[in-house]
Amino acid sequence: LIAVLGHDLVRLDRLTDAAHCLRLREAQQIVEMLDDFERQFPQVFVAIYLGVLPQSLSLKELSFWLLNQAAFNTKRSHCLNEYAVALLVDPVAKNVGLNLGYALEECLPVGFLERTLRAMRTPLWHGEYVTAVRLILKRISSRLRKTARRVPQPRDLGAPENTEAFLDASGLQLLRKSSAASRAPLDMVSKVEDNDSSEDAVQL
Amino acid sequence: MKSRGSSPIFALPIAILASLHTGYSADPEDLPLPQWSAEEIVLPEAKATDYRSEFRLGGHLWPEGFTPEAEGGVPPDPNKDELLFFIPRTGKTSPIVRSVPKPQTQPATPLRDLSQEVLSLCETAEPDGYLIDPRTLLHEVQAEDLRRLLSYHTGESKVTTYYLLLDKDEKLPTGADIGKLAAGKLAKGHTCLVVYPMEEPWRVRFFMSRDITDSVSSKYLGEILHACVQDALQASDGVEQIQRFATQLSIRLIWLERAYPTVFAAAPATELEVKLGPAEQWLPEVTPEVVIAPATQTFLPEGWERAAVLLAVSVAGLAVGLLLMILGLRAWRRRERHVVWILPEVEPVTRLGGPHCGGGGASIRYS
Repeated sequence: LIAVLGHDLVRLDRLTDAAHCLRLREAQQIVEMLDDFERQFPQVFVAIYLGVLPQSLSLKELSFWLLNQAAFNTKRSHCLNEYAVALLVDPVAKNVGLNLGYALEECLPVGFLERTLRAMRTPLWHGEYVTAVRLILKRISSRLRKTARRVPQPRDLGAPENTEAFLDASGLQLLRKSSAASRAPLDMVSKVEDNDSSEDAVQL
Repeated sequence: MKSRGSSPIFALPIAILASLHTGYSADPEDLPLPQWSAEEIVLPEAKATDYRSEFRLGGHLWPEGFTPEAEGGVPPDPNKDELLFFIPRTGKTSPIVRSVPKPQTQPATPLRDLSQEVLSLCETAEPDGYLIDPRTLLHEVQAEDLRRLLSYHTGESKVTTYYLLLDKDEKLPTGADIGKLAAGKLAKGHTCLVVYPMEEPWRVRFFMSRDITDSVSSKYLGEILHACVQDALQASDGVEQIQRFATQLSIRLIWLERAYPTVFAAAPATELEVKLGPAEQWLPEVTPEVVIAPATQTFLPEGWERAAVLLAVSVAGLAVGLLLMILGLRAWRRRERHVVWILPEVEPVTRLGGPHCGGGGASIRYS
């Protein structure tokens, strides 16, 4: 498998339609469903890959390689592939595969996966991918709720105490660290304003 | 005719048959008819004091058990109305099984007073008629039928009856001077005025001359009104209701006249005397002691009303329960949106000789 696909790490979106099976609206609906699922289960994410595979590569092999070599663009960057659910569909060969991270093996046994895939056969045969994804997410959600712990989220959001707390909670990410030189003029300006020295202000 | 006259072959048998027929009918002794003796033909003689054996026009219509004694006579029992069998019944007046009447405290629509314009029309319209209906609430044929009945009643009874027709949402104003109605003819002789709202006979107002109300017990007069209203309520059509009401009132007034003969005996001296003063003094209103209310019409068999009520309550309860369940489900789903599910932490397991994240799974072919 490494000889065929290599051992480089790759990056992949949660929804990849390489076979061009989805219309824009359907893709948006699936992304919304994936967002909702990740909001309910913050540790778990579902990656969907729609593509035509060569005959030399099976769905199980590709899903195994993706779970171990790919980094998926999820809402939360800290999601581990141990909590990933990979759904792969080959619309030409009419194959569908479901693979899991090792952390979900106890929650979602193989028998459950096979039953879920069999339930998806009719919508997949009709090309109704949105219905198929909704079905699998519903079944996985109900199954995960049996083992997961229920944590109600507070509805009322309190105002941050200060600016630092706001920056921490805002999700703003620092692209590069600001240097001391770039901060110097601001300090100088403040000093000039304090001393009311017009000459220093002209030099600046 | 030309062919019959020209063929003598048919003339002879016809002549023979005609002679046989005339000969047979000419002899009354040969007819198959019952024969009566001279004693049987004599009719019973009428006695002025014996009301039971008195032979009157229309047969022995006097109610059973009615033996009035001058003014303190016993009124007829309304439960033994044998006379009702003579009232023509049509298909619309099939007897309806009714429940106990419930008093209607509030009318379906707010009542409005009869306008002064209509009242002034009633004072001048049809001075010789007994039906005061200037707005023609009754159609021409129906009004003519009622007028004929009232004219006939006036010829048979000493109590002249006048009808003032109101619409179903109208009522007589409080201070209306009813003495001026029908060109003031209400003030002459024994009169009675019926203010009749169409299709709502239970709101009838009944006015009678003071000489009658002073002599006849108010209970008896109230029973007259009650019987008339109940008979009118047997019909569903408004026109038929007033016809039944008028017929029943006519009969009851004749009964009244015969039950209290002394009241009407001294009438000729004051019959044409026009009464003066407010109408309330000489034409008081008769108020029935029994509450008159429309019966609730039901098309259900007797005993099924309770089942229908239970069914309606059950359906309403189910609907309310279903609504509450839907609202509860929506509230639960709204609350579930804010719930997060945390899976237990699992230690990573080294498999296949290296740190792998996942594998295995399942795949099927859906073609």
